[in-house]
Amino acid sequence: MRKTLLFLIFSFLSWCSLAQQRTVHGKVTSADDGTGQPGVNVVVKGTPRGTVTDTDGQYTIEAAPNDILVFTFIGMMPQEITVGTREVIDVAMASDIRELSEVVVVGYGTAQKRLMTEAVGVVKADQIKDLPVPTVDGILQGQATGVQVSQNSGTPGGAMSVRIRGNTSLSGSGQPLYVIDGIPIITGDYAQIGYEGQGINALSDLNPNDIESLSVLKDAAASAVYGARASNGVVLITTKRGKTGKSSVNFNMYKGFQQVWNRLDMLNAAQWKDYRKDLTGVEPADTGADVDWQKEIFRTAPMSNYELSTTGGNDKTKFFISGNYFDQDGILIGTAFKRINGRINVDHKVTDRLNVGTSIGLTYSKSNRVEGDASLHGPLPNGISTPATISVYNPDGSYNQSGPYSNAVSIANEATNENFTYRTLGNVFADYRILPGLTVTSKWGVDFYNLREHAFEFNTVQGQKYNGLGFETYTNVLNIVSNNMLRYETSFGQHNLDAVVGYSFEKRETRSSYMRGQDYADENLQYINSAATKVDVTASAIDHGLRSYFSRINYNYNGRYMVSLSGRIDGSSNFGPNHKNGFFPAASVAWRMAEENFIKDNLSVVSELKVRASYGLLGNEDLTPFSYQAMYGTASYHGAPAIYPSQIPNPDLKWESTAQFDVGVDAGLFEDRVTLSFDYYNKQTKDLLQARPVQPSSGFGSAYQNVGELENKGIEISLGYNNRFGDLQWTSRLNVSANRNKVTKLYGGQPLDDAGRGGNRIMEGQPIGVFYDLKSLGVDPSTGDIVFADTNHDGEITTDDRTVVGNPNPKFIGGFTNTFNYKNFDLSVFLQWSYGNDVFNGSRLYLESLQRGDNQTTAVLRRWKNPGDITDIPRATSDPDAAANNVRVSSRFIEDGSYLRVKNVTLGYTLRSKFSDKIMLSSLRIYASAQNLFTFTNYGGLDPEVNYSGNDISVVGTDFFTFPQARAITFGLNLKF
Amino acid sequence: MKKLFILITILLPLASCDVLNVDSQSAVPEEKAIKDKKGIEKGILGAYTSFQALGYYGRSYIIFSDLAADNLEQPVDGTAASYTQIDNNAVLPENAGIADIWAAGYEGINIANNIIAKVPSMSDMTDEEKNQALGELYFIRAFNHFSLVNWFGALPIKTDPTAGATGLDVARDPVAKVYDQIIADLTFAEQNLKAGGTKVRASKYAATALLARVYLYKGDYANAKTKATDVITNGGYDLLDYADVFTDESAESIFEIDFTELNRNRIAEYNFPKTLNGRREVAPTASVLAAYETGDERFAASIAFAGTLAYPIKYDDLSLGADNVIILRLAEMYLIRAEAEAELEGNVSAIQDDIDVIRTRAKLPGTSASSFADLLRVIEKERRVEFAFEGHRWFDLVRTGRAVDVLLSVNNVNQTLWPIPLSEILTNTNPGMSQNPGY
Repeated sequence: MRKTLLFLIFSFLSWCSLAQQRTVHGKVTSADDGTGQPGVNVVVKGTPRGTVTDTDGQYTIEAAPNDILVFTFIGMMPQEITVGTREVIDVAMASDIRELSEVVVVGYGTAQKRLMTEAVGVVKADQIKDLPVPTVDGILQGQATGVQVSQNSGTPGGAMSVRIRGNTSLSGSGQPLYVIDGIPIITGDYAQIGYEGQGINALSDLNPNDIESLSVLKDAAASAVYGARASNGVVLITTKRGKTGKSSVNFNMYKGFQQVWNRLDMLNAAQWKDYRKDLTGVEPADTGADVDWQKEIFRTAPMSNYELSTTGGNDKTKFFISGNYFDQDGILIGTAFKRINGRINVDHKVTDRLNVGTSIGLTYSKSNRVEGDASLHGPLPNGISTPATISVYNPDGSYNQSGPYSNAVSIANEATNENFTYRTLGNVFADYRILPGLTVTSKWGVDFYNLREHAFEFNTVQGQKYNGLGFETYTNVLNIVSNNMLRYETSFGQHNLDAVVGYSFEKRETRSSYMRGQDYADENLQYINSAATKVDVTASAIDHGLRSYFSRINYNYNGRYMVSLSGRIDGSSNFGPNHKNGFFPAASVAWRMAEENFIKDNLSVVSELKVRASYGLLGNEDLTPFSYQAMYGTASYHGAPAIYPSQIPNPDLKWESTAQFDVGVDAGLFEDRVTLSFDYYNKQTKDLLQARPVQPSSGFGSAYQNVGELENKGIEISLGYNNRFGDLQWTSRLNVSANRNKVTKLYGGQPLDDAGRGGNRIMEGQPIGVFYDLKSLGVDPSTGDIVFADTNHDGEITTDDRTVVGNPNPKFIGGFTNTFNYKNFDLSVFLQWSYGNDVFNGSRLYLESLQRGDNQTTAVLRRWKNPGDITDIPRATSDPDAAANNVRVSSRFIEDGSYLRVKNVTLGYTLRSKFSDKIMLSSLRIYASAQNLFTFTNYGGLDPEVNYSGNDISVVGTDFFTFPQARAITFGLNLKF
Repeated sequence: MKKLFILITILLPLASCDVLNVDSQSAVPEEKAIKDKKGIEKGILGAYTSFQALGYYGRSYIIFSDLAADNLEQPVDGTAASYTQIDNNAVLPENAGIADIWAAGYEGINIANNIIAKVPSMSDMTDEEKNQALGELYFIRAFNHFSLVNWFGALPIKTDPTAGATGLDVARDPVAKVYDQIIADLTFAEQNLKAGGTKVRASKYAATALLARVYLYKGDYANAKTKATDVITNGGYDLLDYADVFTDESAESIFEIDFTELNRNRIAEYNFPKTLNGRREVAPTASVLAAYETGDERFAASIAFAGTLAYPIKYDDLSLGADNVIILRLAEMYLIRAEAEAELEGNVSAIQDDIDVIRTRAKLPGTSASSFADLLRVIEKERRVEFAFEGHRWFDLVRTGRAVDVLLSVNNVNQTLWPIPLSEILTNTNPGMSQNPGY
């Protein structure tokens, strides 16, 4: 009935205007690559008459000469064309690079950026397309305000620390929640074999080339719908989906090499002998060797990436299919990362009311790792610490093991440390329109993460000790997520309402097994079946459940005044019966002043001006399960089972909660050619879950309690500029963030002391992880020994004299991207920096120790030798007290870690000629890209952007023989058929 | 279609009600952990496991006594900084090695106290079984207290389990009180434990033998003599060829800590030279090598050479670390009795006889010393080589007041006690938790 009526009305309208009209047709193409653009709305302005372009971009419409045709398509600049006398109107639509017109993915939905009340950072595919960075967290670096990404080390595929608006927790990982296509995913390091900070990263299984956009939810209004897991921020990742239109095939590849960008100046053989003679009084025997060990352990390493994808669809079915192969060798011998990805995203319209779809990503990855840092079996620390007089090989070709540590080259060459992941990340969903504006959606996702670690060594020092040492571990994590929601959208008059109410549950099962074998039958048989002794065989299980109800209501009046309310109730199995459920509400308002007449009339340069404010509560449930309970752990003694009390119970454990206030301004000037965004936030976190140290005399080291409080306050500024000067198009994005973190309350005011090697401390009134050490006053010219400040004036240098001597948290961080397009050329320059953070250069504890057998840096050449010498390096002495005194952890080893990196420079050329048409190509682009091209820093270690214990929140800004980042030069090719 | 959707939407929440119903797969809630005799048995074994910590009898405790004294030293290419401090007798409160010992000792005490608190309510145990279980737990508690008091001096006596995170600020109890508690616990153990059985668990004579040592350290020589005699006469232990002593559960051993490939010790790893794939964090001093008399059979059973590098071999299972660590053995009882008798200025020939039991076994001639002062020196030297690398030397020099005289790097009696670990000082706000003098 209703259809008939509509038909009648349309017929009538058509008939009415038929007299003046004739048929206009044409083709809408994409200005970027000249291909037909399907799905473009073509409407006669001021009338309901309209049509949509077909799969080739063709359209036909009835129009009168003085009609104006309006062409609109999401993500493209709208165009208005007066029909005039023309019958064929072809239109090339340029992509809309004005930021404020974007559609942004938000929690459980999308929103128009103009109408948003929340603080959300967005990174689009084109911002990241040429970065030779294999992981999602890596590409976030420097791209959005409020997001601090630090690479813990240069390990290929390794873990990074991502902090959104500062640290809000003293326990757990501090990492944001990652949600891919609406499904929270497994992240973190599940490795069971320790590699001392060189962690692996479940997030590195995702292919960045599959990403359409990333939304970083920063304020409470944006993230409260993720409730109990949102206080560290949320990163929503949306993968590419098919679009209606002609199918296209894309082939992208790059290939290049990486090198270490910096080396330490170490003593050569002659200098080493001189130093040893000074230290011991005996000149070491001449070995004839003068080895630059850094040359032996670092290398020029290749990396390459190949990706083939196809996308297309019609009004019923759309698809995106991609395959990817990534292969990277590390600049440190023995390290590599390989990954194969496949993805299929399909959307299908079953009926007018029912849509179904699926997103499926499959990954296989393999990483070769080496031990690092504190281990005595890492190629990097061992190599750097080996004196130049130690040759790599003995004259007979065997490894020379006479150095102070086992031979670095032997470890890298002879030890096998392989990790394999097999991952399925998929979801299926259905939308059903019950009534106009009312839709029910159910989405079920599964994330199945399998990790296998295989390690074996035979011909190394460690391998020989055990007559062959092998490990085999399996970890599988299954996460099942179900999201079910009702969405209602309606408009009445100028009132617009959009409401979501939903229910979600998640179940995560972690199962792992671990085996260690020794006494191998043969050096070529690497698996435990050939090990005569099975030393450690274990398996374990952890389950986790989360049940949630969430809702969000957005209201706006005339696109001018916006109010949004959201909230979530989360029930988590991590907490005891007293505090099973938590409620996390948020509210936000915004006012688009640019829509007001007093702006429109008086300030025509202002194309957008919005002020917004939000307040809400977020949670953190990242805690060892069952911490609330008195538990007995298991062990064995004399071949029989044993149990023992394993933790101090606390039935009142509950969520950490963060109250966040945010106020922001978004402005656009000159038709959004200049955009500006400013945010101020204040996050107050209380009930911090703290494994607070307890008196060791209790029999326990720590107990979980909700005790601490801390705050993060900060500002974020981003500036955007885009304009076209003839053939030159210039886009520029600058972002600067400053966060001030302060711990305001700890249990009994007691600091969490002396974490890591650099004396990181968590104490009231200071940012997390300040360096709390003795203050070095330098070398006493009369004795040659380090003198420390006696801060409590008791005449003795004791641990009580420690004081705050450094802060690992940057004063501000930022990124600056400039993209130029000139005719067929494109150039982008991406700078990224961190300013005002201190780094504890822990490697110097050994490399400038002036004792023991480690090689030393050339800094020790200026060591104190004679009374009266003024220098910063103490004497070489065999007096044990003086030697111990001189290497005490102190401000001597703290350095300014500020840096400015030319993170990426990419120059590309796009071929758009008859030639490319002839070979069926619709476009061809070649480019060259340089990652980490230059780094400007005063830091004396290998790389200022390091943290040897990346997973530990309290151990920050400490370099301890950490794997440096690589400089990578790559050459790439993008083909579109 | 519509109905189907609504139906599914309603059913989904029902399908998932149990996601929050999750049990731990790796630990047992306390109320389910110990319900009967079998649970108590598992708890007792749990109390032993804390001895296996690497920072405790799994490595450091055994090494530190010889390292702090003159039997072991850290070679120039050693890398463990906490060991350097021990070697130089310049120990800082933040030293990780001493913190590990403190923590492991109190962990063992707390496990024992937890199980002790549960024993009385077990309905399937007879009074005899209960007392036996308590005896074993008291032994563990006493041995932990004793292990700590020798390094740290006055310390909190713990006899109740830690139940929550409050009320844990405790004061140090004077050394004499700690000894009283140790002696009370061991006396109960001695009276209620059975003789014999496996040596990796406490037995009646393990308690008696430990009591003999405790009385000796305390200076109660009459009781030390009585207890040592009791073990020698009634314990049923035999002196073996020295080379045969260091095998698991040898006839000479009275009490030892169990290690297996699953619970490894790392003593050999720290002793063995790098050419044999060890770490050589410690090495025998020239003076201990010289302390062996010519012909002493113990030398070859205690020390080996890789080229010119000497290294201890009493614990030599480098690859598995599965050799049990001997805590008490019969030879010590003879030397305790001899020392007690000498201190009591008793029967000289009895003293000589006991010393000679040890010397004869080492294929050495009998001692010619006859004054009490000389005999005490002979006993000191005999203990040094008999128990080299078994964790006795430092305690022997400290309890006899000889450390300052004998050890070059000990100039002040303050150095004979370690500082209370910084981790305790920082967390324990009781004014009675004071630092040792000199730190």
